[in-house]
Amino acid sequence: MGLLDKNFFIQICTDYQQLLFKKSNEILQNVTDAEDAVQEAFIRIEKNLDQIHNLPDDIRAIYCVNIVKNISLDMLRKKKRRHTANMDDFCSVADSLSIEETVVEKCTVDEIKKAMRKLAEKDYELLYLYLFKELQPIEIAEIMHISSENVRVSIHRAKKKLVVILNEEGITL
Amino acid sequence: MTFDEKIKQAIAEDHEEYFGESYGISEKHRFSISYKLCQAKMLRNYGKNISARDPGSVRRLKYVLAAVAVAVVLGTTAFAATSIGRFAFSKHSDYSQLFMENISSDKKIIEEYYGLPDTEGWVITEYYADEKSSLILYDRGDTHIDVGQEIIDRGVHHINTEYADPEPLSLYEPNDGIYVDQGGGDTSIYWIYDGYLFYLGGNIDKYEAINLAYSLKIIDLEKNL
Repeated sequence: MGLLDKNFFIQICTDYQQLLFKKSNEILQNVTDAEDAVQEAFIRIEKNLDQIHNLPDDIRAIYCVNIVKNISLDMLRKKKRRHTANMDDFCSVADSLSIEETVVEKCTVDEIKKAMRKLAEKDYELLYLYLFKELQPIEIAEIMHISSENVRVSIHRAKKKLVVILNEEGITL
Repeated sequence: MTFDEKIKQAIAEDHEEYFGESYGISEKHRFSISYKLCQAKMLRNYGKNISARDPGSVRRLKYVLAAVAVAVVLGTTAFAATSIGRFAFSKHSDYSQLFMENISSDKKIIEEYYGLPDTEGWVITEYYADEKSSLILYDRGDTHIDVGQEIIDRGVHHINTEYADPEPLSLYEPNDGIYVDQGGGDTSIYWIYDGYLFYLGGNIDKYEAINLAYSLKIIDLEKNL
């Protein structure tokens, strides 16, 4: 590991520590625990520095944020505080729901934009990486720190959730 | 236009604003001194294949801090506390904590920063400073020194005593400090001076640490902030 690597790591720490703290504190609601989570996140980031180095800035942020989120959620689970922020719960839309083509056809881009703001952050990030950045599930899996199977399922569910939101907004037959 | 294409278009139009809001920082968090210390040590040890001893220590340390803070807020001492000099001390199985008792200071912000004299060959490699705390990292050859300074705001401070028993130390007044042998050739000392709590640690022995503590002087750090 050379000086350049160390400088890059310092830059990552400087650039992201406030963001990681914010994301962790949103989950943990505890400043001290959130600082711990950030610290732990940087240890994991250091171990994956080569991978992070090759990521574009925007995806790098998502990568780092998801590390700290996973750590924070683990801490939360250990403390058995609450489950509302559990990432698994972000994907809890009933599988039986099918995407209604009529809704899809009728809705406008502006309506989707508005509806997407109501998605969980993880769902937005998944759709951003998959549809906008056009990354493969296996690439997204590495960034989001979940399995590629989970990526596929989560993308599908995110779209379903979007349809549910659009329905709730009155975009129906 | 398919649903996916519409979503892609929506994201194209909105993602900058979305991430600006979601990932933006509206209010900067002021990290604790223990976080800064742990972070600084992690950076210092970068690439040296050193085990995660320090982060582990800080985790315990912070849990302890939270517990101590609760105890103080409740006006109770839930721990079996004893005293070392002017510090209350509580020993646990793999860690311990200290918090100050009967010490007050009218200094609500750091009015002057203390550091090592620049005539002794110490080079500042990194520092963090705000109005309530500072941490300056020095190198001289293979010797690494951390100097911390905090206001005595609540009488509750925390130190890492995971690897040894703290011992009383007298610098400017009887029992105004604490010495901790951190193991592996590392030493930490803490003391009160000029209305502040000071910390000095590094890969030095106790007497070097004491001598360095005596050598601290007011430095012009503010111009670099």
